[in-house]
Amino acid sequence: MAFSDNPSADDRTLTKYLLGALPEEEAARLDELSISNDEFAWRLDAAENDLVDAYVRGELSPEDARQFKAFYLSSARRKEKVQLAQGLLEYERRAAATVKAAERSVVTAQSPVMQSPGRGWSMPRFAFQWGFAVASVALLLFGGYLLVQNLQLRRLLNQVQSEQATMSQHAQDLQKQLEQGKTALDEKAKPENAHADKLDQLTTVSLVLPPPTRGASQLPSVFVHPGTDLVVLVLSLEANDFPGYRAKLRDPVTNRTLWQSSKLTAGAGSQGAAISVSFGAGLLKQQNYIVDLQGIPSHGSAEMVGGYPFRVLLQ
Amino acid sequence: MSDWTPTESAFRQFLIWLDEGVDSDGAKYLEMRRRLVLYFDRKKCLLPDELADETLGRVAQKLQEQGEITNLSPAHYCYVVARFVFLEYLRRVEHSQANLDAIPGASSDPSVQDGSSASQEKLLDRLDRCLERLTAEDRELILKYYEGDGRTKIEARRKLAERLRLSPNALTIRACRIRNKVESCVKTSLSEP
Repeated sequence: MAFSDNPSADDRTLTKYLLGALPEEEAARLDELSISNDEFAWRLDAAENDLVDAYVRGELSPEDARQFKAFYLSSARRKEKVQLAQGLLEYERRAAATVKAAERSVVTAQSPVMQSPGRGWSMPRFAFQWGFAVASVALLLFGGYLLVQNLQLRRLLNQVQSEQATMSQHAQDLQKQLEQGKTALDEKAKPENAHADKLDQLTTVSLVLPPPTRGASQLPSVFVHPGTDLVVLVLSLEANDFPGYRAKLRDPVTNRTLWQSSKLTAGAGSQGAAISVSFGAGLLKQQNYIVDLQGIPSHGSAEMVGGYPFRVLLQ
Repeated sequence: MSDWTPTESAFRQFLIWLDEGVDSDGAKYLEMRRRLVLYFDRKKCLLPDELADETLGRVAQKLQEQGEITNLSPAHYCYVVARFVFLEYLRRVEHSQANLDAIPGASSDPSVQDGSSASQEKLLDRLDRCLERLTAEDRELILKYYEGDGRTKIEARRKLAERLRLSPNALTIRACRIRNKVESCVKTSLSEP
């Protein structure tokens, strides 16, 4: 579900919500989203972590800092969260100090002139050491360049092989979805033998949906004519992070799931990786919908990738 | 508080309903419980964990009695029940600042951190151990994600997402999950002797 089309306004709203500074009605709306909406719940988590970090780093405005102390710190659980944030900050500072100390000791060890200041500069030795250092760096850079080239070529080869495999799998998945769509239509009391062997006569409409971003511009629309059998949506991915995916079609008004896919794999779209889903046009009314896409890792539970909103226009 | 205790089959039915057909191995339940605890905590309830368990128990009980709940999504239904539990809590308990001050650690004392260096070192020691328990990839992600301040942090996160080939959303969610894991680990280890 799109929180709004203005990301920085959203972040400010979340901050005010966490500081107890929102009007009651607005706060109640966010209370509901914090439990019922996956994407919002994670955004709220992230906003809370950033707020706490900003407090311990002294980055809050005086008004926000005052409200933080008065409201946010009134809970034992949240005090613990701030203590952990202070611990993380101290951890970061100590790690940075360790790195700086190590760098200083390396510079000191590499400079024989500094180690023996009484002897002054020795030009030939100085020139030899610099020349050796430059040559070493040049060799390292060249070796690094060769390594990077090799890695890139290997990656390209793997990518081509992987794309071939996923395209083949993608074609099989599309075929399966078409058959599932056909089954859904059969259940709407059409004669059994009307479409049994006529998959090629299914009428479809399709729409490409851009990757979910905070600042979505216009809502993509799909025109569904009478007699349309299937709606095909191509969900563009910013990155193909998971071996499998699952999509759900949701009505944002009632928050009900209307349709859910089986496990899907990403295929190669015209502008990068994409997931293709299709479902019966009869599920849709003239309103907005959202396709929630989850990534399924090899181990562990599914993760929310994002929501793809779109509008249905019936003609 | 409800005295109803779910049977194993009722609890399994509840988990399946919560999963909405995608087996999460109990992860959905834990996530829902976490959100409810945060909700009750934000509403300044004294025992958010108990109220979260009360909410989930009532939902499971209703599901067992009715056989199915189809008018609302599971997450939405949990919110509706949580709202009722919260309103009952308000009627039951006198919610005043005096009550909050009576609970150790729940006051709005601006001096959050215990000033003693011993407790600071103990926290850092536990934090170090908990970070070591993460995979190298997760450890690097969480330390890089929360490093720096202001605009440098925003830019660093953008570059981190690019390097890990993650969308900004996916990176944020992953960082939150890892941080939650570290927070739980530190909290558990600090309560140990």
